[in-house]
Amino acid sequence: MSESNHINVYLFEFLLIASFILPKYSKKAPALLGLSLAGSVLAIAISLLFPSSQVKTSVEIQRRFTATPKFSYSQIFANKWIESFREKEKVFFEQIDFGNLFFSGHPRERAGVKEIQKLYIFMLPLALIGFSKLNKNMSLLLILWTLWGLTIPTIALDRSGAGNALLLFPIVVLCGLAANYLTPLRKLLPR
Amino acid sequence: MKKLYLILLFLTILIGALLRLWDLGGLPRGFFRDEAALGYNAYSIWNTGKDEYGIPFPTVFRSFEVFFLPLYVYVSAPIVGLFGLSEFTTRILSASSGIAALGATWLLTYQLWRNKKISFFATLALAISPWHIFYSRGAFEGNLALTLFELGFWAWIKFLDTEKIRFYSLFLFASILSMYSYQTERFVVPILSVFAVLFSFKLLYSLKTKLLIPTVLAGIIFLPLLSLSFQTGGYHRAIGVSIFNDKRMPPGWDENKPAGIFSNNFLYLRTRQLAALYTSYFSPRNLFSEGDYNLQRGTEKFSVFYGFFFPFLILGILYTLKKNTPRERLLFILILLSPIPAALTTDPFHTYRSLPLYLGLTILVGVGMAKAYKLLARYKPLFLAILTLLVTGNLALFLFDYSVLTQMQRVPAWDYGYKEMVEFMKTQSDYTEALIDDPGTEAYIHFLFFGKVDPEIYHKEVQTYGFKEKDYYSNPDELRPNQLGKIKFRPVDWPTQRGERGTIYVMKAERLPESEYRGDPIVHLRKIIYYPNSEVAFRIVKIEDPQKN
Repeated sequence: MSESNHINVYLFEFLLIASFILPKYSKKAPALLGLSLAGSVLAIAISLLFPSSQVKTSVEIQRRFTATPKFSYSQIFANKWIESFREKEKVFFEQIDFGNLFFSGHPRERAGVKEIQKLYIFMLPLALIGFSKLNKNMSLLLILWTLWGLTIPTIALDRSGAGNALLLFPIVVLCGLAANYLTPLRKLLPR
Repeated sequence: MKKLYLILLFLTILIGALLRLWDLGGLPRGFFRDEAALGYNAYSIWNTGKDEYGIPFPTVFRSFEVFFLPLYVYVSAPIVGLFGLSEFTTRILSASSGIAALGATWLLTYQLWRNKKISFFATLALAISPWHIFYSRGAFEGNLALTLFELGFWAWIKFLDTEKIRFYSLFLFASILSMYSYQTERFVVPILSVFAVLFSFKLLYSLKTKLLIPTVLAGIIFLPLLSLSFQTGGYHRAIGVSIFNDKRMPPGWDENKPAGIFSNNFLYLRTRQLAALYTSYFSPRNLFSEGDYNLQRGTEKFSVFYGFFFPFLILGILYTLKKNTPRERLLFILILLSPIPAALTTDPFHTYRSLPLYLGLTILVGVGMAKAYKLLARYKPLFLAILTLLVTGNLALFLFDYSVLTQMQRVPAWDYGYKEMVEFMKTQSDYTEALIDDPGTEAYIHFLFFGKVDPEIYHKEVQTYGFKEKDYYSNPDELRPNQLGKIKFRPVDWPTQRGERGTIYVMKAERLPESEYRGDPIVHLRKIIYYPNSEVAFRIVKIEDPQKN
């Protein structure tokens, strides 16, 4: 089990407990969200201090290309901080890639990553409908869950299928919300 | 307050214009073959009234294996004709369209929401968007089409609000012109128009007599394009790149298994492939991180949008969904329709074929920014300070990556080196023939463009290829000119085809490594053309007698 998976398990348990407690604090949602967001940003910022070896190589390549006197300012733009941020940004957006979540054999499979289809394609429109039908109590929990579900693999640079397992919970909940919203449509059907 | 708003808006458009115009002729370094084709055809039209093949005022232009729509060439013709054939004059129409799009975005968003903050933030988002700066700085006919389309969209909303026929006429005129510019609009505009008409049918019906004349006139303008749709030239490109024309089986197909209903079902697998292609255009990974798969269509380390646009996009979507009036619905229909033509092709995340999508999404980013500004009313100065920091920081990084890194790492994809090659060949006269190693036989267009070859002379040469005028629109066979005077364009197999005295060979570095000719007494290195990162792009050698050394 990778390090981020351990964290995922703990976080899952924590968020599950939080899901029972959070509705009581719905009035303090903005403060909770703000704190959580700040915590997530801080965690990512601290992780930038520890760039991976790939970051160092990438910066070296960029510096080599821009090492003429004309581009002496390249150090401002090609450095470990920026490259480390980009690396994390890439992993962050990979977690919410429709291809990685809903398809196997999608057009932009990642090299060196075993791609697994995590959800069915019919769940994508359901998740979108659910997203548009979020209520305040649900929003707080799901936003917090999603935030940390994205933060952990981003910090750990975990690109594996297990890395974004935590994120599947809010999507499934959104699908449930959509199903709940769509159910009254049955009444329209002839008996 | 109003004055401050106007100053900020003016500054935004000014910065947007500078980003699109600064060193336009020299950046991107390199000049792509499609740009050269647009420029030379415009030059030929201005000077002779005929395209590069000698066809008078065609409805579509043939170039290499494709047909492209004509508006960019016709509008560029006077620019190229009056100010000379150059990279700048070829690209300026796209750059101007990009600047005009900033104004059109302000107008459109203001007409949609009657909110000056939304209009400002949407204009700002477009002005600094990586995708829009990128496509405004190359000769891309899709960028002209996009601006015309946006203008048409604004005119439609304005017409709904004012019921003035001149806006209806402008809507028709701009929309049809956009369809004369690029293929995506040929698909998006008619379908979106159907929805637009359905949403406003009552109004249109009440004005039917007034709308008759502009509609008939628009129909007349549209007629050549419509008739073209039934000829090979009108659909060849779409069919050529279509996924339905793809001989490969869809992902998941197992060659070793028989086809079945529940497993190895071709129809299911193809549908899933199409769904994957379509949804890839909405995937945050592609929009904010990966970018276009083709090196020529993107900036190193940047995608369509900046990463910090993401929360604003989510907010913009939520707000717009909440309002859900027919206008917002029309915007969402545009967003959902736009990637369809691109998703029906085999290429994954082809940004150029889906430009209207990014326009719609950029507008939503602007909406999101305005809503965040409103939501954080208590922290306005802090919000504005952070936003300014994000905008300037990301823009500075983008400019560095675009003007330095991209030019170092991606110029081969932009046909860098052909200008230098043509300039060098102009200085040569003592050769029997020059062979340009060109497996794709597309380099000829660079020689026409940079050599500023007289179109009259070239038209005579084209006649010798056996090309028939009657086949121009109907015969999809590739027209690949392979000779220009003593210069020939074809693949050269160096080990077997070398050795002809007096011949100049122009070879890509990887097709003629130094080890292939070093020490050979009859091969004389005449010139090496380097990429900006100092790697060798081309080697030009001449076969001569040893005593000439």
